[in-house]
Amino acid sequence: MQTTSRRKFLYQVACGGTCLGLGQFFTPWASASVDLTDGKHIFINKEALYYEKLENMDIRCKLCPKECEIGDKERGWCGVRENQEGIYYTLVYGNPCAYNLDPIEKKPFFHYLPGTTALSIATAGCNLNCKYCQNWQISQRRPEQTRNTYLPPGDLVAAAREMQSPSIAFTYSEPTVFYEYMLDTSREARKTDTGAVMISAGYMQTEPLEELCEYLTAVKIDLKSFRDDFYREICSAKLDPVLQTLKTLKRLGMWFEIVLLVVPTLNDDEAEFRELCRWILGELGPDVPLHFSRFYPTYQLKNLPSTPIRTLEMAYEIAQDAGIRYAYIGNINPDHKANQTYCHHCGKMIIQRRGYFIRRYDIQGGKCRYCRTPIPGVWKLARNPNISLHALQTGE
Amino acid sequence: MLGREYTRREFLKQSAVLTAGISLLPSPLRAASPEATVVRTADPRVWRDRLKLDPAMVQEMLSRAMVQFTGEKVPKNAWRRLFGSRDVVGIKVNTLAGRVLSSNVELVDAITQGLLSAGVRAENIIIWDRFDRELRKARFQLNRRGNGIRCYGTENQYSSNLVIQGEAASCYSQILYDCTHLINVPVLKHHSIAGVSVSLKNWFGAIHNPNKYHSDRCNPFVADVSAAPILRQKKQLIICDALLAQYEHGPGYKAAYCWTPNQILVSDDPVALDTIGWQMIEEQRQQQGLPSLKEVEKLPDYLATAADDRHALGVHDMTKIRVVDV
Ligand code: SF4
Repeated sequence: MQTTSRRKFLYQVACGGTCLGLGQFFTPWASASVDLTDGKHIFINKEALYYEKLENMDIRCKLCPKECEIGDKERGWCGVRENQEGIYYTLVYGNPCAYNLDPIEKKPFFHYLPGTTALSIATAGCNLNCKYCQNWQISQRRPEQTRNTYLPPGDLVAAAREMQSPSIAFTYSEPTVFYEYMLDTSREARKTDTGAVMISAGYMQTEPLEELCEYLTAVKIDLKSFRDDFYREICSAKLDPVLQTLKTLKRLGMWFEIVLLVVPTLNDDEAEFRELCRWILGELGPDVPLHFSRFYPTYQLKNLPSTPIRTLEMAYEIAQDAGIRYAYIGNINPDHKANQTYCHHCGKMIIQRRGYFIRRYDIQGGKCRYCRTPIPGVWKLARNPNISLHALQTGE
Repeated sequence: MLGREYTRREFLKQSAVLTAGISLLPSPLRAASPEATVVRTADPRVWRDRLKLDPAMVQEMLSRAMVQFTGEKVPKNAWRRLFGSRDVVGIKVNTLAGRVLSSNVELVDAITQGLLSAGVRAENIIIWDRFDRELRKARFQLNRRGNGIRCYGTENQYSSNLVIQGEAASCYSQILYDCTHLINVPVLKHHSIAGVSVSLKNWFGAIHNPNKYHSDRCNPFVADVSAAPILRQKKQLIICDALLAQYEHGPGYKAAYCWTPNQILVSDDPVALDTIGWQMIEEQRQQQGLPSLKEVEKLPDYLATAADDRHALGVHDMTKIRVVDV
């Protein structure tokens, strides 16, 4: 079996990592793609978690709400989990196909260790199929079709530490489908005070989510829309389980932020924004950051234009008027006022960003420097209090 | 019977004129035909013992079917009618179910013998499926670059462009782009989601994301995937391996649910051939005291979809399918 030594992995990440189809960004952080990976695919016989055995060697996967029933030699909908004679295996354990050292703001997390980096990884596969996926070249492929490298959880955590990256991010594709890898890595990370964050569509069953949250330090949920028909037609999924995930995160006290990619004509309706904000306020409270992100035509939705800025600004204003304390707009002019953080109490700008860079940071001890109001978020890791200020980057 | 043969021959002649030398019927012409023909040969002596085929018998059965299908008198001419020295022929096998229930090597050998007899260069014959490892398990000898007949898996070699066809959006195996002709060699078997898996379903092995298309009993996805121009524009022949078949709990191999129809089916109409295959599975289920696929809500609806005006991939109406048993 070919493996990537940690030294080589570090070199690769330093050279820019492998990151497919990450779309338009305004930052010099966006690095050139290089391809230095080793093997084509490296499968480890790692039995999957959360499935039940049925008759005749069939199985039912209980990881995500799709609950695929899978016959012998077949794979689940996500394409990265396979039934071999009645035992269900994950094919992507320790087998990432994309990695990069990203600013945490790129996820986007605006209230989690601002200015720090996250060693970001993904494997092939996804349990949704959003017609506008920016990363479809990895998310909609099976592990045989991506260039993977072998990096077990312990090596990944060690690599993050060597790079002085305070967090590892499971991102780009859909971490739910590499659950076992993410879980074991997060467990390892916890032992070394390294953060572990998941960037996900939230299409996961409650039980595995609860287990995972014992080790995660933050979650970003891509809420695709507040309409079930959008989920069904555009994403091959359903809305309800995602709302359930958001409620579970709230119940568990997990720090999470929400992103809604606004797609012209499909989920850009004023009434939908209002209903969404009302639901967030009622179920999750006013402190959950809500990012409205700009759509760019890609994958199966090349026929639509980019989201007009005024639509995003309308959504932003609706959220603010509704009482969401921290609304943002993403994927636009890096100096836009909606890319900045303002104290919800005194209204002063407390984090000034330019794209992914922090230019000013006026939060002290988790409080607004001006009025001392506590600002919701994770400003330092509990067992590693020096991280955030140490790692702060300034753009200029 | 004579009349049928004549019709077939005439039809082939006509198509040869219409398509300026194209030896197999392109889909649009086939769709315009009011009828479809499926040739079927059977011989119980094909099994030497329980799991061992007699290669000579397989060869003989295939020759019989090809002669009948083309209306030629001798096998060599039958192959020559359909293939020539400049063709690059991709033989898509089905090796998902391992050693026992995959396209049989003996049948594929007989096909390659036929192609060689028609003057196709050995290097221009590609036996392929999704993965090397599955081909190997199914007893195929891999040969990616050496002399002679090629045999390899697509692995990660898919076209970079996304083909959007109906509700399916996929990248297709690069091998398809390299071939002028396709021979589809499916295995006749039950499929626990789609109902049955025969020739149309076998094209799921040519796309990068078949896992996305198993909802709603694979309907309309099987039809959509099969209707993509990259498949439609190729000349296709289907030689279905029904020497051993499975009537329940497919597509993985389950010995308890297999039977030996001892048959090879040949057609250029995938919908017609699959419709006949589906009927065979239903008959076997009935004999075994199992409910019909309709009763268990596993009807292969994608066959009707494949035959509709939008897809026009062939004939699904049983009254318009001629089964010629030889
Ligand atoms: S994780 Fe994959 S296999 Fe499991 S239910 Fe979801 S899509 Fe199906």
